[in-house]
Amino acid sequence: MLNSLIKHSNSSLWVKQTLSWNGLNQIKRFYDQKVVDHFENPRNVGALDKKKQSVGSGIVGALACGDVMRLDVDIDDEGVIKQAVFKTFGCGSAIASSSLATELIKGKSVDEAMGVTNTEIANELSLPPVKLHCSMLAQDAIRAAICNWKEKNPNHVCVCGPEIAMSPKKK
Amino acid sequence: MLNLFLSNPTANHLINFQGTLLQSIDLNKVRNLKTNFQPPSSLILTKCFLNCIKKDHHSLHHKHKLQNKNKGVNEPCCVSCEKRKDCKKKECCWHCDQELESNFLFCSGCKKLQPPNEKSDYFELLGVEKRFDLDINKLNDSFKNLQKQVHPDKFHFHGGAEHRFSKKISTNINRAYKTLKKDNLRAKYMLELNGISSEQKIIHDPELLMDALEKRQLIETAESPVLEKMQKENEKEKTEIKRKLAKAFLEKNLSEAENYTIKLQYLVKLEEQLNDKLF
Repeated sequence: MLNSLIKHSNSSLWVKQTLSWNGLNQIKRFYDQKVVDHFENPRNVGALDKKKQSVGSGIVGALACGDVMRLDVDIDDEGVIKQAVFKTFGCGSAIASSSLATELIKGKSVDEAMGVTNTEIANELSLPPVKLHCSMLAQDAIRAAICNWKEKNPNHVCVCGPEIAMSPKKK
Repeated sequence: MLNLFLSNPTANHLINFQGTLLQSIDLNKVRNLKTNFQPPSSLILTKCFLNCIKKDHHSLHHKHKLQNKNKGVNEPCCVSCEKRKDCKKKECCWHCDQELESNFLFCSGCKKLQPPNEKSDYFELLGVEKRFDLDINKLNDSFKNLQKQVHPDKFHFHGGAEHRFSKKISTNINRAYKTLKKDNLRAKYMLELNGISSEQKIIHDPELLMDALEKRQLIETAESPVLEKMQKENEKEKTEIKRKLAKAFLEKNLSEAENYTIKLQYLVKLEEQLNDKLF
């Protein structure tokens, strides 16, 4: 586990060397155990067919680090999220945030899912201040996915958060 | 209470625990202080003695404190004691009281290192033109020349004030150089200078992001020839975007500059991933 974390982590060479010298217990100083768990055993990795009517796909990026997060949801006629999958390129915290996001919204109604906040995700993963923007990204990804679905299904009654920036139309 | 033990009764120099050389102090002056001391063998200095010595050092070397009182200035000032941060005399040398030129590092009169200038931005600090397409070689040379002058290693024996200033200035210069060296960081910094903060910004452009996602997936799976081709294409795109970005900054077209900065960030990230994979 330690070796794969070192291999896959986005961290600097110095951090990698420190991790390998000091052994497994040092990981707790850099990553919370839950983040490591989501990183090693990510839940719900994948993508859904965007052409389907019931599928909403949201894709967001962070300017600070150049990471990409994609979250797809499959919502049934009652407005309940049947399936949620993600694909993220970024640091361990970003991967863990999106993985947790998919877990949180599965089985929830659209309105409940829109209410999932970055604070919830950050607290659950005990994210340090420098990684809080990852949870923000995950929150925006959820909302972007649901708003995309709503664009495809405008007749379905639900509440979209007012602060969501809709995906810009292609010029 | 002073406990002063001098190994060499004729020595004029006193050394504190850290081995920093204190200023020469007149032994007679020390002896006149209220204490009974006898000179035995080892050299020990207590904390309170150091404080007393510091006060003496202070009044010995900060004559302008007394001068200002004579001139009727209300606030006694001394940059190195940092008691008065709103001191009006900050534009003058802390040591010889001479007027300082703008963007000063050293005093032209006594050549002492001055405190860091908090108002200058990274471009001014490194002495390069404030444009996106600056000359990297000139930046590197400027950085090296400046560090040769202000690096803390040069100020170990110059007294506490200059050493402290050199540490701050050197740190600022390092930070400035790291930011201006990289294209994406330079662009983001220039946006910040123009009032656009990019730290918390989340991007919703689906075209750009899908493209970035697909490319990063490809990097994970593809073979070397494909990756090398990607590298060349990426390089070409990057050069083009940099040219457009430089033009946007010159024309002060900030919305376009922001768009190009976002694109540049993703191209730079892609380049980093490609380099990691190929080397």
